[in-house]
Amino acid sequence: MKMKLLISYFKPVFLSGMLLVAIIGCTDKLDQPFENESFTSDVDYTIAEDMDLPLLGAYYGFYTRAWEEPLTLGLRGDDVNAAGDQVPMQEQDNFTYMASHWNTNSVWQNHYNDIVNIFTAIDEINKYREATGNDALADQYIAECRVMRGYLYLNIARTFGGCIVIDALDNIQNTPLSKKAEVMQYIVDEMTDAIPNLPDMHPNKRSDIRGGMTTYTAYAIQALAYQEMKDYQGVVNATSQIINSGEFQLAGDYYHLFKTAGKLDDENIMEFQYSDFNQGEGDRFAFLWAPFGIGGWTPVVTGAGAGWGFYEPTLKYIEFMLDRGEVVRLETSVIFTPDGITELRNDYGELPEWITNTNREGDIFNNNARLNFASGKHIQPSTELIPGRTSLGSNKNFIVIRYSEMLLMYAEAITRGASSSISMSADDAVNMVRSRAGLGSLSGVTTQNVLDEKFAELAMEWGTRYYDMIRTENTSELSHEGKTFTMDKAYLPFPADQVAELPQLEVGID
Amino acid sequence: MRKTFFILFLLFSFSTLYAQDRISISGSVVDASGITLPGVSVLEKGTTNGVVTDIDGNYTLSVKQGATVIFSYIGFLSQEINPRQGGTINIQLQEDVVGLEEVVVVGYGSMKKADLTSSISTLKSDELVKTPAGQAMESLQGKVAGVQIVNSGSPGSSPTVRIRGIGSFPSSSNSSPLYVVDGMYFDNIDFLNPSDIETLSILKDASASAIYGVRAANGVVLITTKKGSLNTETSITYEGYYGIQVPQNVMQMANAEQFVDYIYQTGSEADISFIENAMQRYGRSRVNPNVPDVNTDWYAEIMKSHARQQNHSVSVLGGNDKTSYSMGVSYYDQEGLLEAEDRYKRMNIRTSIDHQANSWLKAGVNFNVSNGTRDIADDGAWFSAYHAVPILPVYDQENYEDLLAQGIDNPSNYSSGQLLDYRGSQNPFLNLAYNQKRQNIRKVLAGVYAEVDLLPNMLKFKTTYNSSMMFLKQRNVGIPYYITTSTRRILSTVESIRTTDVNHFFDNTLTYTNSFGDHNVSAMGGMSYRDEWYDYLRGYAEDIPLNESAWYISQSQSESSKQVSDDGERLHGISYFGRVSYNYDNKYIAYFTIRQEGTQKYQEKWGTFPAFGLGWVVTEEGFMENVGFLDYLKLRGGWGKLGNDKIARQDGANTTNPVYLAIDDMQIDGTTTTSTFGYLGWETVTGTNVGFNAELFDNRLTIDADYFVRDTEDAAIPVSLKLQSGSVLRNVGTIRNSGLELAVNWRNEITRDFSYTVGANISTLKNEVRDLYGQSYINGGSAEFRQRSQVGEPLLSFYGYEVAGVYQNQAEIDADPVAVDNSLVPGDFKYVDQNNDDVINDDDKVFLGSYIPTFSYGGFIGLNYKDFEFSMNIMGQTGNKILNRKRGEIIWTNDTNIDADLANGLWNGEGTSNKYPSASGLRRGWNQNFSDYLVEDGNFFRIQNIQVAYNLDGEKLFGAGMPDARIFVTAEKPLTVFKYNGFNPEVNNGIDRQFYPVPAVYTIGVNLKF
Repeated sequence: MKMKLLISYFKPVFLSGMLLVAIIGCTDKLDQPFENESFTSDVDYTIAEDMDLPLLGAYYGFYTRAWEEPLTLGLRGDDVNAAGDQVPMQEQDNFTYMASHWNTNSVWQNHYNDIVNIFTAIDEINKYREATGNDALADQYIAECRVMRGYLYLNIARTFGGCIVIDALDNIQNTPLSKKAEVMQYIVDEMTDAIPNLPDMHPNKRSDIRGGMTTYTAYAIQALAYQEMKDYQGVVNATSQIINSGEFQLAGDYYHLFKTAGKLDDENIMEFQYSDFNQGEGDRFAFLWAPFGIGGWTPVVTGAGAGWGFYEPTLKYIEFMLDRGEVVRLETSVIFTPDGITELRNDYGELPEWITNTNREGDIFNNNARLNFASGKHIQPSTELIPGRTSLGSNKNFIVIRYSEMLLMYAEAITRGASSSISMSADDAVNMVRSRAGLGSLSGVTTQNVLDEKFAELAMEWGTRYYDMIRTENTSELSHEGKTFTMDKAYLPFPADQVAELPQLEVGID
Repeated sequence: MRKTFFILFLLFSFSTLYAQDRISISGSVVDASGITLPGVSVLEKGTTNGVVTDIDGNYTLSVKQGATVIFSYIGFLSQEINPRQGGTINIQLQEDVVGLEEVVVVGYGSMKKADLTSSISTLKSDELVKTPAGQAMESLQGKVAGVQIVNSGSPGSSPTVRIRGIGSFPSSSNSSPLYVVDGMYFDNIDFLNPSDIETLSILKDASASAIYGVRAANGVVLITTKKGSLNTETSITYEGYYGIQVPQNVMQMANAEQFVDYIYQTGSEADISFIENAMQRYGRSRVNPNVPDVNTDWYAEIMKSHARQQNHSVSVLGGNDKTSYSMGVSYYDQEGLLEAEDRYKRMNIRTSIDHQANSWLKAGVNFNVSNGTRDIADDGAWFSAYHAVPILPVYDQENYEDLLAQGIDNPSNYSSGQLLDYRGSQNPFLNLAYNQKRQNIRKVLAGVYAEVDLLPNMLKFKTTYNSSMMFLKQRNVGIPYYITTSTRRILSTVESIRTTDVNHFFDNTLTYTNSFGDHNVSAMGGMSYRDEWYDYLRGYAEDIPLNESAWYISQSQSESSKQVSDDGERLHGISYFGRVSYNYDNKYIAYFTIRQEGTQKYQEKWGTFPAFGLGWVVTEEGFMENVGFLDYLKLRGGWGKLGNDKIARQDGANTTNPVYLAIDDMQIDGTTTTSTFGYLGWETVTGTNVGFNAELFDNRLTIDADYFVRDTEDAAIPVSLKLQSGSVLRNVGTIRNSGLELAVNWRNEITRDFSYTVGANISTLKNEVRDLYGQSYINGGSAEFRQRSQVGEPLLSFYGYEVAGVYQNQAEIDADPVAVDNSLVPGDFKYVDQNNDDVINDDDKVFLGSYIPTFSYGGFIGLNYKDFEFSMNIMGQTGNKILNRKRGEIIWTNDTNIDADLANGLWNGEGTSNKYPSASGLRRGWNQNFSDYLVEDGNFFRIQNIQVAYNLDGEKLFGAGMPDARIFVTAEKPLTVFKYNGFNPEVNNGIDRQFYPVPAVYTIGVNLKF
């Protein structure tokens, strides 16, 4: 009986058993790697020529800037008004600061994103070091990273009056807040360390990364840090290295320095590079210039994109320039609208003939309710667009540090009593800049002469004017056109969001 | 351990068989009132020997002597007899009022409802199809306690479904439940036609869903599609309806006059000049010469007055003594409300066949093909329509003619805000007219199973192999147009995306059922192997021809614009699971499941998930016999632990990614390396559920009550990076959802012709962060509209200042140091200085509420009178907050319109408002701080569904061969009542920016049964 039962159930039991046996034992599938992912541990660090990849990644982060960053950094001086409809920017322009303003948080985070990115780039470069067998090259790449990092810290510390200087990425929570002076000293030291390892040439002479960091970029950043510390001897020492190298020349044509022709010019010490790669379509690497542009224009090139009108040169600056009889620097720095010309005429009186609402290339700038003037250094004429491209400023580089600024910093430091081992005098330095601008020579320049020259030369560029006024505690100049500035407004408050994450920021900056 | 798991279940028990003589029995089957029942299945137990009663309810069957014969009929309790000798046996079947014999589908099998110890709600097809909707889950809204459904009006979109709250951090995990359709796993069931569904069961608590292990953390929805049954005559059914959708609660925006008034109040010269530009361009209103002669109601412009919706389905069901079958075709078509290509169409074909091959083998196939097309209108139009100024017309003929005269390519006759000098184009028609987004969604679900009786009625082996394939083609086309230098698209663009998902599931189970006296045991053990494969390919190109047939990348005239990218993923999973359920004399019930799960997805590969349940049927006890009104009472409780694998896989290590940049006008490659990475172990959910089921007053009143606590441990939460932007996922939290659910039903038959049902359900929900592993809080949301998760508060609560009022006059300003320090003016917000330190800063921010409703309710009333049926559902929720981000967006762009409530309520001099700031105040950063001004109550009440139906007996009315018919009219969501200043209080994440509102739907339909 039982035998019969076994036989009658043999088929189903056998078949089911076979199936069970077949399906057990596929657990090794759980250890398969994910698709479409390159883990850092999979990178082949023995390929020596790949060592530049992480360095270029650091440049990528450095060049990739959000539109609000240069605006936020640049708008508080008496050279710029915040136009447009961005409440935080208008309030900051009026020296009303709020920790909750979105744009200051963005400046902070975007700068730190790149600082952290540079930390990992340095780690990656070190992993290639052995394969290349070229310690000097690895050291150079790391030095370039440190120069970029130095510049990012410089911006943050000048803006917020201090910041967290990261020593190790896993220790941020416990790193104390550094005051601005400490950050500046850190930058000076970093540059001193980096300089011996950097290529000793003009950035545009580099054959590997043309326009990249060199010894002189490091000296320039060091000079800026010394200037913030009011260490004028330091400024002279650093800038005279740049001047004495003979690598740098002022561009003959100030107007075109800020156009396509000025890309990687001999005057430029540091610039963010963007490009359409000489093609009318397809990939491009770009900055969003639209906020600097003007809402309504009639471009020569039909279809050339307009802008948002967030960044307006002040009437004060224009009148200052008219008083000085400036032509090329005013023409380059300011774009006039018909309403702006009327406003200027009403306020200033008779205007020179050449002031019009059409640029040299023929683009016509129309009235705009938000602004009367726009920043010419940031607006590329439509004729310079590569045919096929339409975004405002596509293919335009963003110049960050120029030789003329170094000359004027040198001159100011001399006027403040610093001594120089090179033969150039303060008069020489200022007059080089003036002569390029078509102005006559001065002799016996004073500190004030130099600061005025800086105002004329560097207006609208990265808040340089504002930092000069803060450094000289010149509250009356910053209290312009109905705005009232006091020194307690020198620094933006730490973004509320950052304070919430990092309690060490709670103490703030006095 | 795992491999020996099955051996436990290979407990063979042998019974002896006797040779028997055969007897013949016959008789008729009637119901309680003596009416004959045709189609009752009469089956010799344990065999396939059976018949069905004929049209007069008569049967004749020859069976072995001593055999058990089962009489079963849908809606009636089955009855078993043991005929000793042949002859006439008449049977009276009792209606299955109690429903306890009802079989409920549970994971990898089914159980009698009487044996359940967990919380499972089941909906039948007739309830599902009452809601005219493309998606079955939409019809659950308000019907099941503890289940929150948030609908979207966009045709073809899936509703958000939350079962018992939010256990996982919303951005790091998909909180949708697991859908198991005929044994196959899905993340959404948008491909199913609700009319193809037979039953839909929701496993709400952990002890029920733990058998599904890692997929079940958010609850499980089990769906069985319609199946035929053995020995039933073929029936052919047509169901269909046609309806219109009508926008409701349309948001009132400021009209031109209110807008102009508001702008003058702001004092903004720029904005006033835009109004002047509009008057110059479009003329002045004859009524009010200070207002432009344009008054555009943008919501009215972008919406149709009504949109069509229809559904048709035909199904064929039946079976002979060996084979049962079901097949069907259905078609669903829904237009959207937007004036654009906005539509969803879906065709479904399905079939299932079950065949009893021999005495020990049953096999079947199941096949479901869905072919959908979704034209998706750009929902950015909802956002633009809120913000577009009313002084801008839809069209600008003058500009169009200018463009034509200039010979500009692709001129557009739409207007643009930029023609009035506004920064943005504003016109929502640019979203609608110049973007074409189409999805072709094709899904195939195919499954085959074999069921082997190893020991008859005792030990059964079932093997199932299911495959699902999804082919998604998405084509996004940008059509070129030109209005102004910045309102334009010069080159056409096409983006074409192909996504393929191919999933294979191989499940094997062994089920053992037996009784020893009063001990009833059922045990199941099994294993499941999953292989989920995903493949993605995207191409992009510019400058394609404008005729639709040429919308292909290869038609592009711009080689260099072409881009291509792809992605893929293949995940494997293996699980072993088992269930034992035991009851003693139908009085004491015990239940236990365990699942061991392996996944490739996380750094921790294996997890074990147990569950158990206990039940006590109090009314079976002797001492309860005298409690007359109480017919049935079961106390039950359960505990279970499960995992959540819906969390995005984590790298677990740094990754290196390629980038390119420009060096000297050349494209150069580089790499960036991440500095942080997510590392995840299992997020686990532990749920406890206690409850009871009771039936009282001759089963007229039923009560189901549950209390649950659901803890998510090691919840994966994005932790903000220090200093930088971004976040990484870490297992750093414990989240608790707890609540009470109560469902009460009363039904009564007054006369033979008139019966009614009244039901209500309520549920409470408390969502709370219990632990953040040492951190005091974790920020979420965006920096400008902060949400914060903090211990003791609901997840992602809104966090900001509390508005105390509005400064009314200068004296009030002067008296308040906060106002003086911040140079405030009358008409600015006064925030509550929580710590009374005369400074408003981070320390004064408080929790402003959560988007998770704390109380939900639903109600139902059904009336049957002769051939008429009436039913109505209502629902509502309270306790949730909505962030009115449409208003909040002013922090980025302030030259736009505002809604009428705000425009009329602005502070405009002392005593005018203590709720809204002045017009100019709206544009000051002080008032733009995130506060409860932007956080509003999300309470609403809704009449969900009203249906009136009339049943026609075709044969009686028109003679033999005529079909039975049911004719019905439905009003879906005809009334919603709420205070929130928005279109619709249904906002799934509580942030109202551009949600597609849900329309009311009115339909008429008919069912025919041949």
